[in-house]
Amino acid sequence: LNAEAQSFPGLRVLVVEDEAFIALHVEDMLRALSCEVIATASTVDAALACVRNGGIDCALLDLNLHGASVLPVAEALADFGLPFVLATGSPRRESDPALLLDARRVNKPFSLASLSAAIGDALSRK
Amino acid sequence: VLHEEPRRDETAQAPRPVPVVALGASAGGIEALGQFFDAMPPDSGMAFVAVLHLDPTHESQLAHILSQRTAMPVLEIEDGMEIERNRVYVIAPNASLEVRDGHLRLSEPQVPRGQRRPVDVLFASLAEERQERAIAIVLSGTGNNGTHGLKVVKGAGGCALVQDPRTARFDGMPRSAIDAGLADYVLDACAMPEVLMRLSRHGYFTDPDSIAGDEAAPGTGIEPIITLLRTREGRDFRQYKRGTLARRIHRRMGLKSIDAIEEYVELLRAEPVEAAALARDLTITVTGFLRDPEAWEALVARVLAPLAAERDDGAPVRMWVAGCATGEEAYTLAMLMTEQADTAGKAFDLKIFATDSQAESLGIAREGVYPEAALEALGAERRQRFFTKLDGTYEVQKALRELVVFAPHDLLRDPPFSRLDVVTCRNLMIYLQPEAQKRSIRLMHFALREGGALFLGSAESVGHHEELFEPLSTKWRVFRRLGPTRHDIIDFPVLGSTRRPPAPDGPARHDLPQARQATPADLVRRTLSERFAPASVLVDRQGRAIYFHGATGDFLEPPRGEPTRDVAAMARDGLGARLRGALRRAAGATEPVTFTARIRQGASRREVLVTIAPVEPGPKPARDADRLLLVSFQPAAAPQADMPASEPEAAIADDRLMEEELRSTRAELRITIEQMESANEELKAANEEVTSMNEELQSTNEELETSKEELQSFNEELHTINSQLQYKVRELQETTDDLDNLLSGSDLATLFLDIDLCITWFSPKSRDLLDLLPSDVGRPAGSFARKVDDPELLVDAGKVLNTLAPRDAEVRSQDGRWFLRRIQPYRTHDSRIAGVVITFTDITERKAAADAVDEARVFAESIIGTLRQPLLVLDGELRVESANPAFEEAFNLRPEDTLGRLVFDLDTGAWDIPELRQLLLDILPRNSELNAFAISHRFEGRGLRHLLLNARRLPRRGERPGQILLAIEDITDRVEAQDLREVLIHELSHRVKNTLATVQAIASHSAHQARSLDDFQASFNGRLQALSRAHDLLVEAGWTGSDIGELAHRTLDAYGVGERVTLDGPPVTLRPQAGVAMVMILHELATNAAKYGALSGAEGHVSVMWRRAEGPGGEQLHLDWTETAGPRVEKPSRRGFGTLLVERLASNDLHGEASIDYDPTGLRCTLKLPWSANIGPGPNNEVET
Repeated sequence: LNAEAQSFPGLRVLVVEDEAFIALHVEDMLRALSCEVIATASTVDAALACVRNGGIDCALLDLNLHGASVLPVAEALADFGLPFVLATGSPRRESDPALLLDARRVNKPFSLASLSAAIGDALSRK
Repeated sequence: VLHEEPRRDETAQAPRPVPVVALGASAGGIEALGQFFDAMPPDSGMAFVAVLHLDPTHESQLAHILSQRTAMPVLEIEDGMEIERNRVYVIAPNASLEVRDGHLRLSEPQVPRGQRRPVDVLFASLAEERQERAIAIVLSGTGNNGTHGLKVVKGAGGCALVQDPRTARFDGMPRSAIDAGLADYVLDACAMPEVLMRLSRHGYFTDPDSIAGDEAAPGTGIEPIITLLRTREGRDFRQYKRGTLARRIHRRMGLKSIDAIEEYVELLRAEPVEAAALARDLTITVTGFLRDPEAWEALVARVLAPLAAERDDGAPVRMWVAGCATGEEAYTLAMLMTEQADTAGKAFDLKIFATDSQAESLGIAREGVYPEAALEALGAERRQRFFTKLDGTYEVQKALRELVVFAPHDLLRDPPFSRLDVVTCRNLMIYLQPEAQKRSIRLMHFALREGGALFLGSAESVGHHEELFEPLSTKWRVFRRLGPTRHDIIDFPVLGSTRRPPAPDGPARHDLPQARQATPADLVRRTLSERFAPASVLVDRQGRAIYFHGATGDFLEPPRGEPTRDVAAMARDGLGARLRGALRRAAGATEPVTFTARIRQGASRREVLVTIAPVEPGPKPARDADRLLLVSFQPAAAPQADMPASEPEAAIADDRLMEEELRSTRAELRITIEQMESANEELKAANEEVTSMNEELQSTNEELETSKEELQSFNEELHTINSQLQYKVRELQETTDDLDNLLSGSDLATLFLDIDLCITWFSPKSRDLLDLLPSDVGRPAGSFARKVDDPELLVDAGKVLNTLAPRDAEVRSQDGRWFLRRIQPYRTHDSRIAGVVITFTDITERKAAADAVDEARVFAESIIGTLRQPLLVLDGELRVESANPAFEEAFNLRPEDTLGRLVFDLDTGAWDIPELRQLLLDILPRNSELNAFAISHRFEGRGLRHLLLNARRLPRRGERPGQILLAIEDITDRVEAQDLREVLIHELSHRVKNTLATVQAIASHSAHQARSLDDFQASFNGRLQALSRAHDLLVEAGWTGSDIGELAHRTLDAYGVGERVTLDGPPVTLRPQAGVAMVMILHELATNAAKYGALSGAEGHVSVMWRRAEGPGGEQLHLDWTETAGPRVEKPSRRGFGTLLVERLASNDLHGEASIDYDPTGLRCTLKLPWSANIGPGPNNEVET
């Protein structure tokens, strides 16, 4: 683990990721940052349910969930005023909605440090 | 007489103004002007202004024409031009020209065309501007334009030249001017310049101011002329103002080119004509109807209206117009009084005496014919009522004419009329010396009845005689007579008369002595003279008795025979001879002559003292001829009965003898006289005859005159008609020329055939088609060899004659050219059919062009048909003209579905596309072509189609909007491929990154779990290979989906499928994601089995079975992994990463669940996966939508 990475003790994080390998890895990384992974959702519906259930401080969202956009989840989070970080392998596309374009991104594959910086940044934007 | 004192410009004009010659002309004027300018030297120092009647609608060529005849510059007048020497100015069309302050002024004519008198206008303005210096010339022309203007010129003292009517092409204008007595010179146009040059050098024109207006030394040297006029012409100008007279005399001298007065006097003596002309010029008159209308209004209001109101119906009204000139004023007065009488509802015995000293003027007045222009001031109503319209002139109607009595009368010489109600004497006295003016005023007073009115000119007044008149209108000079008639203030100038005017055709002249009433002084004088004065006889110089006073019977007795006034013949015996001698003596003496005589009466004798005293008839010494003698008889003593002895008998006998002789001589004389008288009688009779013959001749002459006038007017009409005909002929000639040129010059072969189909005319071009010679006119058309293949020609011509409908045919000539042969009926102007007209129009080129067009059309249609791209041809209204097969194929439409339909209606409205509307209705009309216009549209049944349109608007064809070509390219496939590519690239990036992340995760976890580096390498490589295999499968399947059996087979092949591994289940295609997850699950399970489970030993067996099953949330895919015959299974103390991975893959990636059962006989894993989320026909392209 990178010692330089800032940790966020007790930060309750929702992970939205459709690939199990990556989800597992991300969960590990978050734990390494002292975060508490509240849930991992692989579909939009599941993620929305988690958001509505509450109890989260922040979310890490994969942009593309089996070909479906994560936008509804981002919108729900924005409605609740919750910060989120987009984890994506795709380059930015100008056709993306503003909400997604403006959001803090972290490019896959990412290191612990860049994840930490992205989360910190997203939280500070609030 | 409305004598007008010319206004004098007192300001000295320096430098001397340019002499201006105004030329007025009308018909025939251009010729006369040309002659005039031919003879005019170009450096005369004069300026010439020419006015013609120009057509107001045409540009004038006058300046151009005249500039060919003179070296002087000829200018068409523009408003405001300054007049310069040696220049010719010509009027512009439709303009009124005046001279003002040395400049030419143009203005819009005020009167309608036809009533304009531009020459009068110019002359009048010139007269006002230049006074004596004005020179006006009247040239050829009809009508009387210019006459009035000349009158003004002459009134101002100017000079008038008139073209000789004999040389004028039209003599109306010159004759009118001459008849009005206004011409100073009557000359040919070419002779005028010489006179003008002479005039321009004369002092009268160069410096008139030096002559005129010098009242201090009036008329130096003109006295002999006044005397001469009085004696020769009987015209007394002694009372006229000397200045005016001097100016006018000098004017005559100017005209005669005489500088010295003495020379002119000589001329007057030598030429009576000149004396008459001078007398006429001295009384130039300017008058007019209703001149100064406001003054007349004042007269009507103050005098005529009250008069009409007061005077009884039918009572006499007497008026006198003194100085009536040409009668306008008299008629004006008559009209106004008549109107007033009508207003008052009365009829008066109106008598207006109009007098003038000018017999010529009176002649015009009596005639009562005036030009239309003169009557303008009267207005239409009066014109209608009082005048009869003649040709261009107006004649006073009889009723009005009879109210006015014209008579010659000299105010200064002849006794006035009396008991008048109104006297008008306007602008006459201004010419008179003050003393004459005063006398005139007194005369007017005498002439008027008590309370009668006097009407003077605006510049005149009653002078010092305020006691005689009171003003009724000071401004307009209307006065009323005051007081009783006063004889004492007038002295009739009877005795100064040298000529008794003939009695007027009005009332008899007053018998003056009787008109007087006896005054007391007269009474005393008469009584005294009767009582105490000797018997006397007043005789004239010839001894004729004029007046007998007292008892003259003792001395005189009527002689025998004819009555006589000879006083010597009346004398009694003994007195006669001596009286005759004494009278002779007394006539020459100034002192009385006295003698005594002895009268024998029977036997008695009486001495008588006879005194003959000269008597002065007037206050001044009279000329000898006017002197009278008073013969007084005084008895010297009482009559003697006997002869005194002292009387010698011899002397008496002598006396007797002499008287006897005298008596016989007288008797002889008497016989001679009687004979003479009878001869005289005969002469009288002869004279009567001559007179009557003369009258007959005169009436014949008048008839001839009338006939001549008729002929003249007839001639004029003929002249007009002739010129019209000539014009027509010229027009016809031109039309004929035009037609000839048109027919001959055109390429049209034209033939005229008559009813019998014989040739009447053919155009030269026809000879290309028929073997014709000019001499063939008149021969039948069928008899000529034709060079054209037209067997139906004559048959068609016959049909046209029958049906009257034109016939066309296309025929070919022998040299291969094509002609349109048209036969039409030949219609005359009265719609009669006189044959046929055949025309051959060469249409070879037109035909060739039509063929070319046809070819081009076929070519274009072939191209359109060949094109693979759908193409529509639309007409200007966006209806389909044609659609190519590619279109019909591509959009599945038949020709009958497209042709003639509006493009938006095609395929039941499928083509009603907003972008297409915009393209066709909005964009294309502004641009002729448009390329690659992309539209997307969802067609019913065909889904979204992407179309690329190319459009061209063809040029307009005549009135119709041009066609539109619309090429349609269906690029739906291309667009979709493009979209897919983009998706794939995105997906690729996504997958690569995700794969890398997955690799990262795999590496991370493998490292976590590895007990050694080899271990890590083995597990990492195995997982990576599995992942790689999964991707291979996906790629092989085109990334659309993979069969579950195939996946399992590949994944597990290394473990001996068919031997130790059994696969069983229906074909199920997994989605790509699901496929990858499934491969990874099978890999983890297989790795685990090879490490710890059934595949670790030599005996074990794995069964993989899948099926479709009903689950709680719908259809599911169930997959069972069952290991058998392997080592005994124990539940691990710690959950391994493999298990976790399987569970997470099932839940996370496959949205299902995995359950692992550690059955001691063999590990069992069951996957329950939702069917719909994982199973599909293929890849779903709709990413992120």
